[in-house]
Amino acid sequence: MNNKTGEKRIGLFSGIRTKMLLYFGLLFIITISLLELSRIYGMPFTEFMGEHSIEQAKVFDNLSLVADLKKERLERLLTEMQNDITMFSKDPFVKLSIVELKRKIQENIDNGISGETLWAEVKKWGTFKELSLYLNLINNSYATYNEPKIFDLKTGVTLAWPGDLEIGTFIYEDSYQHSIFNRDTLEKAFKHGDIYFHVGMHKGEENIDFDIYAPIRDSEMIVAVLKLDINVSDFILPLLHTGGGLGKTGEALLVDHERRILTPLKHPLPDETVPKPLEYKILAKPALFASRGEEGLIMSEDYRGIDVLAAYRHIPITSEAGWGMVVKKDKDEVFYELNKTMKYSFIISVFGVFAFCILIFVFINKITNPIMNLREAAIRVGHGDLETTMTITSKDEIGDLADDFNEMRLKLKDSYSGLEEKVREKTEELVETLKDSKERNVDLRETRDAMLNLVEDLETSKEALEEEKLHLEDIKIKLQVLNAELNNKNKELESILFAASHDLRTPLVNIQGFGKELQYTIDDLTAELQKMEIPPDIKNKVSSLIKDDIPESLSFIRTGTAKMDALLSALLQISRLGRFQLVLTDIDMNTLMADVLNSLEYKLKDSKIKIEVDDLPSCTADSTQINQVFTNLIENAIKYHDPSRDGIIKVSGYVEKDKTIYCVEDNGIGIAPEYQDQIFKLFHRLEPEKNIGEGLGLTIIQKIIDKHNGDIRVESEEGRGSKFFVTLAQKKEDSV
Amino acid sequence: MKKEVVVIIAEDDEGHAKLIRKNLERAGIKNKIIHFTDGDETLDFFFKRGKGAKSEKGKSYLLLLDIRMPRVNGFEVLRQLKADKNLRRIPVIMITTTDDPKEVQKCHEMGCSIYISKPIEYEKFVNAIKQLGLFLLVVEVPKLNTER
Repeated sequence: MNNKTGEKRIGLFSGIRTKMLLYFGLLFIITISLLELSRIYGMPFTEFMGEHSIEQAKVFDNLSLVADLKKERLERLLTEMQNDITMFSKDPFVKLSIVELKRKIQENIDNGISGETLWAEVKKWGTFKELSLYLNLINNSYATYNEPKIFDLKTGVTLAWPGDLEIGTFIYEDSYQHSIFNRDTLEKAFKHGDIYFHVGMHKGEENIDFDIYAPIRDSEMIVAVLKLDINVSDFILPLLHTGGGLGKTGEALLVDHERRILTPLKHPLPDETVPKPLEYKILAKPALFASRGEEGLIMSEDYRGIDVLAAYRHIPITSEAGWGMVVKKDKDEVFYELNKTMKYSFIISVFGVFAFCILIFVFINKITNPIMNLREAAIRVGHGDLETTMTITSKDEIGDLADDFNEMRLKLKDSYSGLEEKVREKTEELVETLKDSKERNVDLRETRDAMLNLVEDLETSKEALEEEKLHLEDIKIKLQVLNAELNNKNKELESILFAASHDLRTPLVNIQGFGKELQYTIDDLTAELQKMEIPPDIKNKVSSLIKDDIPESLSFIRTGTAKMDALLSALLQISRLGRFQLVLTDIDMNTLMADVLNSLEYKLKDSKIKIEVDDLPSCTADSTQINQVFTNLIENAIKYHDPSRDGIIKVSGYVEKDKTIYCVEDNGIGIAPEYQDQIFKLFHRLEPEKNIGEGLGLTIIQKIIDKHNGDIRVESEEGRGSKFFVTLAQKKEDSV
Repeated sequence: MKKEVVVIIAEDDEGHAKLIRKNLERAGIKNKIIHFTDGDETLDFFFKRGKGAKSEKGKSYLLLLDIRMPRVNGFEVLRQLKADKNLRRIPVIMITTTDDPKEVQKCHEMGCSIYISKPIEYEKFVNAIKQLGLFLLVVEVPKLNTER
């Protein structure tokens, strides 16, 4: 590992320092955020509500309080107004004055006085002056009411006024801008109750007027109507807008039963237009619910489409309809403080993380620096610098590691220095060897030149050899041809031999058989001769012929045929050996030898020959033929025993490598050295006169042993005895 | 052996045949003996072919068979007889000059009843024939075609 790859291995985000910073920073941020969030929004599944909900509840409480207060004040005002107007309209002085006034006016009209003339006359009357004074008194003593006016219900003509200015004017003509107001309206209202409220804007005026009407009755008959005029901007607006507690965006507003605003709004509409009272209808939920007669708290959009917290109340005006009042505050403002807190909390936590990171950085450096040092040292050691010493004094695990590292480095150093020593020695040896090899190189070069010469010579010889090889192959082919011919000749010879010896036997059987028949005939003849009476000399002569001459001839015939038969048998055997395949088996020689001796028992019985057989090793051969071999050998030993001493025949055997060697030893007449080569030849026989035998026994043995790829040899000393050694394969796979 | 059993000698050599006949008689066999000089004649007799004598239904036969014969040899005669469903019941005694153990084994494998080697030593031959004669005296020879 080199330094470069070492540096590379710690990536920007894979170092311990970075990882720790990242993990701890994340942990810190998540913890703070969770704490802050649960503080503000509450813990889920618990009763802990969180500051957000608490704040919301607080604001709703406040709004309710304000709304209730305002509603109460408004209702009290209305009640006061109702009480006042009822008191004025039921005042007996007013009633009597109106009745008097109306009667007088009627009289004047009946007298043909009308128009300006009539009203000029009326203004002079004492009744009128007293009534005007009364109304003037109300106007001056009650700041709430402006311009009290009494007018006729049927015609709408003004009958009384604080001054005399508006007398004779028609009130119904003085209708409102946005609503219909006439005799029907009033009559309908007075059927249900004695008060009629009307909010409206008089024609040609900008201010909203809040007017209250009450009937003046004379024993249930409505003789006139009293009207009191209340200026909204002077009286209701302050009521709505004072009292505080609504903050910067907070607002209280009133709508009528058709949700038309009764007071100017605090904020313009989203399209920047300023809505006009009695023209603009609010569609937002709080106003809707309030105008319908419901009361409650809601968080919803207001007329601007901005989220607000609102309390809405219903203020009944008549038995049928009433007004809606909404006291609201922008949500943003409500939670402004809270959001601000959150923002600061976040900023604080970010700063906290920073501070934390710096701390961690310092702290982690304390841990990672030793590790880095250790690593650098490891890299240096890796590059072979074993002198580096770790100077880490910390007493923690890293300190231990540094100690271990130092120890390891020292051990390495030791082994390296040993190694270097060895390398130096080896190098010196190499240098020596190199010197030697340089010398040797010179020798080698010379040798190489010599070799090259040799190669040239060899190539020349090779050519000669190849010619020789071709020549030899020619010879080989010729030899193969010759061999095939020889095999054919051999087979031919064997079949001739077989046929000849077989066919020769047939006449031999006849000679033998009829010779015997002749013997029977002579026996019969002798018997007959004894019975016959013939002269003694003739009888003697015939008898001698029959007893001596004929049997002698027959004896020669029999001996001759016997010899011929033996010869033929041997020849047949030899020819058979050539014709038949070997059947190789593992032979237990002890059993085989017992069989051989058993078949020869009759011959041994007659002689004074003792046979000794050792424990014999086994071999692999054709058991019939090996039987023949040992039969022949022992027969020979019996045949050629020395009559002057007791014969001993010893049979032994031993194993040599993969061969088994058997020895048949006798103490017979032995074989002269000059004959030892010839004994295996066809028809050779020792002492032909002395022994009866075909002389083919050893030839047959030789042939059998040859077929087994074995070996037979003889060791003999004339007059002492002979040893025949037979060598055969011990195991099957080694034999052919 | 019952008198009605006919002894068939298949032997190319007249001398051998004569010697066999003589020795059988000397051993007390008085049965009728028919002699054929080659395998062909022998087969013709048993398979009722040609002009010569023919085997007869209801009679019992015993065959003395030489191996080496001109034209059709003893092995072939033995093979053909043993291949015939009916004739295979005839006892066959091989009488031959060969004492080669492999030929003896071959004859036994082919189904001959007895194998007799003609020894050159006449005593042995006579002895063998005598023993054969004794065997023939006690043996029960099945009749030809009787069970058909």
